[in-house]
Amino acid sequence: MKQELKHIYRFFLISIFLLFIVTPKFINAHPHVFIDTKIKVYFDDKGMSGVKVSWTFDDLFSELMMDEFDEDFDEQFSKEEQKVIYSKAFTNLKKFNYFTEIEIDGKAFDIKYVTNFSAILDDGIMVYSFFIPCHVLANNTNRKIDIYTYDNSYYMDLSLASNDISFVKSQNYKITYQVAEATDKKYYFDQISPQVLHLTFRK
Amino acid sequence: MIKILIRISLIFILINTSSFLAFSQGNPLFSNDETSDDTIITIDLDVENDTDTVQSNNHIQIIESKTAPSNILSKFLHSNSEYQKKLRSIISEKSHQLEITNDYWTIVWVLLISFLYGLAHSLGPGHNKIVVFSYFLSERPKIKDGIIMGNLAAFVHALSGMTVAFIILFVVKETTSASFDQSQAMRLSMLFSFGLITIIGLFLLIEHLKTRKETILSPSNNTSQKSIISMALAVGIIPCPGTMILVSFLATLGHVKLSIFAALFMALGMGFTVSSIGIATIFMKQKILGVIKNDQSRMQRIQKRLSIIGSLLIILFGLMFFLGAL
Repeated sequence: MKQELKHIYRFFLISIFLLFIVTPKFINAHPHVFIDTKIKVYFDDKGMSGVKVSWTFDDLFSELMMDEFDEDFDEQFSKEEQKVIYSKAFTNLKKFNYFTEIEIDGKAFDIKYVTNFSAILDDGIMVYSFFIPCHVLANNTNRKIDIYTYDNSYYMDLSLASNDISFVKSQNYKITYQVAEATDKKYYFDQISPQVLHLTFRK
Repeated sequence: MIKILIRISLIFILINTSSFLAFSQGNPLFSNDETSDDTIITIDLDVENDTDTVQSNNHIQIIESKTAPSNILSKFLHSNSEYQKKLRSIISEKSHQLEITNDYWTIVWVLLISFLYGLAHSLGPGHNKIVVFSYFLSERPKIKDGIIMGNLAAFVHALSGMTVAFIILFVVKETTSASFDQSQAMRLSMLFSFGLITIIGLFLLIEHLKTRKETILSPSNNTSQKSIISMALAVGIIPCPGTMILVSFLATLGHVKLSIFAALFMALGMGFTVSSIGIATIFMKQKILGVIKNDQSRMQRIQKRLSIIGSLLIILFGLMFFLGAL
């Protein structure tokens, strides 16, 4: 009995230590909403000017959002309805960094605000779009941009594919890109790697 | 037994109904902050249609992508997510078909896909599979106990989700302008569930410490039905968000009866997974003890240790999850 109590005491000491370092923030999280991401990188005369992100939500969630916000039942979100969606079902994402992390030459970029939000229904499927202003001057050497897209609570599962990347006004620059698994940013108990767009550009 | 069931059911109803009064964040999209800014900033983004892709432009070069997940677990979770997405898409398609034609086979399809969705959904992270494993490590159950516990936990989990979805759809939304987010209800039920799991773990630990090694393998120490039911209810009481979305979706389309059956079929799918974890644990334990069946003293020693380790794990996970839900 004494020996057992000794083992239990040791077990609890380790457990208390573990509780402090591995207490999960998100217990009940496994994906409940699925999002296909599209990224459009914008350029201007000086270099990169920002990133437009589009999220296509899954059928079931789209239907629930339509039921919630399509007040006139016309299967479209009017400007007024989009304002309500923006206020009630988008601005909160600032706390989650809009599920987007941008690194410029390895340094984190702080997303202070987003613009041009829209929420549309495309044949019953909801699509959110927004623009992240992010100016990066071009020069004769490569500028390196990494764009990660994930919800670290794993409530939403965001996917990104190479053919979902496009560019605007990019003719003056030499661009390379790759969509890859970001093993250095594993989340949800280190089980899931988000996807990342590695992008380089120069004059 | 019936008294215990009634008491637990009453607590469950109390927790779920009282928690609808408060709504907060769970789905990251939703904000209930009335003061949140509703001004959409718009800037001129020039030419929307002037899009350059790798296919049409020489100045853009694509490097071969490595989107395939690096390890088996990551690969499995990724595939499972893709699979769930497909199943949800089929449910949506078939449910919309039902709006045009009330075909018997389409209903069967929706139910079958709901079962598969439950199966895939519970294979992902969560659903207290680790607690079920620890419980069966701690106890001396039979295979049928694994089936009962897995299915009971899954049914309570799904029914709980369905109850929350219906109350939100037919009570809260009819009387207030609250959105269908249900995270506060979820958080309270999680605290209740994980608190209960921890308490059950503590009781099991005390019981196992009191049991003498020499009597640990006697039939009187077999797992009781009361213990299995209590644990299944504690594990399952958290409303399943997956079921909530499925039920809300079908009910929104006007298929209220079908949504109830879909929730039950989803529960069957989840029950299959959770039962399989339970059965695998029991089977594994029986195999380990079977190897040393001729050495009674060693068997008693191992059973005693497994019982204590299992109950300690239940307490540990219960506490971890409880703190995580705070």
